[in-house]
Amino acid sequence: MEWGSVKDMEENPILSVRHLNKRYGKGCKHCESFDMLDKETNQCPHCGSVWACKKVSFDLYEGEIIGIVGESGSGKSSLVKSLYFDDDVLSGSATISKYKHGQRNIFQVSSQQKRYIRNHLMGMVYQNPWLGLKMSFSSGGNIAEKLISAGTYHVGNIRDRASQLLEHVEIPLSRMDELPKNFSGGMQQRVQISKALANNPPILLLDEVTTGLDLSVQARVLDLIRNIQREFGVGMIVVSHDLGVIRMLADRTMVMRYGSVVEEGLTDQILEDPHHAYTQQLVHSLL
Amino acid sequence: MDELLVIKDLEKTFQMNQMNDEKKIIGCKGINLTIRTGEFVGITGESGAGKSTILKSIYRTYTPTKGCIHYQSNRFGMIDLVRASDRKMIAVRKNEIGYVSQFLHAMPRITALKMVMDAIVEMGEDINIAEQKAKDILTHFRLPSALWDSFPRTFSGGEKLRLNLAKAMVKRPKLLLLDEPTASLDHQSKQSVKEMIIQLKKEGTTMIGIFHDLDFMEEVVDQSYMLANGQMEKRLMTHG
Repeated sequence: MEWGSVKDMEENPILSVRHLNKRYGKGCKHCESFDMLDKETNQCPHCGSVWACKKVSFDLYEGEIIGIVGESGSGKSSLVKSLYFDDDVLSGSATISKYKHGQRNIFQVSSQQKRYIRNHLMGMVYQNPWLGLKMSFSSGGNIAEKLISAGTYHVGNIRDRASQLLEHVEIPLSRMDELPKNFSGGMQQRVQISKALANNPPILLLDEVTTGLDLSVQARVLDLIRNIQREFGVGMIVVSHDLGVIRMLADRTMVMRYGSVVEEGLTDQILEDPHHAYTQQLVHSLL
Repeated sequence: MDELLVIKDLEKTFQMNQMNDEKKIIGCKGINLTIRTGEFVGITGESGAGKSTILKSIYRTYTPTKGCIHYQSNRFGMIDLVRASDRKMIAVRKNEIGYVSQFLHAMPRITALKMVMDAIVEMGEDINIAEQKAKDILTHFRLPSALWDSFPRTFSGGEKLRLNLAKAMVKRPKLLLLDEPTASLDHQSKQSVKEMIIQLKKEGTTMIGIFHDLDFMEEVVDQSYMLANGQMEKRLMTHG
C-alpha cells in the first residue's frame, strides 16, 4: 500500500472562520476564562455579559450546504449575523477566497469595504422578512435596490434581472410592482431569497428561513434552496432548529450549544451516530 | 485481483451519554474482511447481529470506535475511510461508493424521475443523457411510468426500495453497499434486482450485500459470511 502517495483534496474553502467570539456586554476579567460562565445562560456572573459565540471555527466550500442546529440561545443566529456584519464580533477572523484572495480578515476592514462584501459576496435571508425587505418598496424595487448598491444603474437591465430573479422563485411577474407586505409569508421569503441572490454572491446565509411557514410552503422554499445550490453552486450556511430541514439540505452539520460547536460531521453521521450528549438528546427528540 | 477494501479489527461501540449510567452498546467487534475488485461479498445473520453497522461504518454514517477500513479510491489513492476528512467522504460518496438502505429519505416535491436524474447530474452527466439513463433503469426495475412523475413518499415499500436501487445503481459506483436489497420485493422484482446485480458485476462493480434470503444470496455472491456474536464466520456455499 502506497501510503506516502496519499494526495489530499486540492480545494480551498470559499469562507474560513477562525475563533470567532461574540459577546453582548462589556466583559470583565472573569469572563476571559469561559469556565466562569453560567452553564444555562452563558452569562458572566460578575459583569452580566452574555457570550453568544465561543471560539467558533469552520470552513465552507463552494456549492456545499453547512447546517447549523441548536436550541434557542445557542448562538447560531448570532454567528450568521456576525458574518453579515449585522453585529460586531469581539475577536476572531473570517476570510473569503473571492475577497483579496482570502488574505484579509473581513471583520477588520472599513465600513465601505464591509458594504462591498455584503453587496457582492454575501446574501442573507432572515427568519423575519421585515428585516430583509423594505416593505414600503415593491418586490421589484427591493431587488433593484440591491442591484443599484452593487453598481447596476441601467433601468432596463435592472428590470430584466429583477423579473428573471422573481420568475426563478416562482413569484408571478404581475405582482412585481406590489408591496411585499401584502404578500403571504412564503412569498415574502421567496422575494427575500431572490433579493439575496441579486448580485450572484458565492455565499448565502439563511437564518431559520422556513420557521413559522406551513408545511407545504416550507417544502416549496426548501425545494427552491436546493435548486439554487444545484444551479448556481452557491455555498450556503443554513441555520435551523429543525433537524428535518437540516437532513433535507445540509451536506455537513455543526451542532451548537451555549455558544460553542459541540459536534460536527456529515449530516447523516450527526443524525444516526451522534456522540455528544446534547446531540443525542436532540436527535432522540426528533419526530 | 487487487484488494479494493481491507477492513482490519473494526469495532463500533455506541455510547449513550444522555443516560446517567453512560450505557454502552456494542454494534460489532473484531471484524476483519478483505474484498477484491469485482467481488460480491454477502453477509447474513440475525437481526441486531451488526450487519448494518459494518456497512454504515464503511459509508461513514457511523464513526467506528476502533480499527481501519482501507479503500482504494480512484481520486485519492489508498485512504482509510475511518479517518478521511468529511469533504473527502462527500467526494467519495458522490462518485465512488453507493449505499442502498432499506429506507428512502425522499425530498419533498422531487419526483421519482428527478431523484434518479439528480444522482447522475451531480456526477457531471449531461441532463438529457441523465434523463434517458434514469428512464432506462426505472423501466428495468419495473417501476410503472405512471409513477415517474409522482412523489416517492406515496410509494409502497417495494416501490421505494426499487427506486433506491435505481438511484444508486444508475451511478455505476465502484463499490456498492446493499442493505437488504430484496427485503420487501416480490419474485418478479427480485429477478430484476438479480439481473441488475449481474450486469453491474460484469461492468466491474464491487458489492457488499446484507441478505436474509439465503437462496437469493447464494445465487449472486462470490463468498458469504455469517455474522454471529459479533464474529464473522465464512459460510460454505451449497452450490458450485
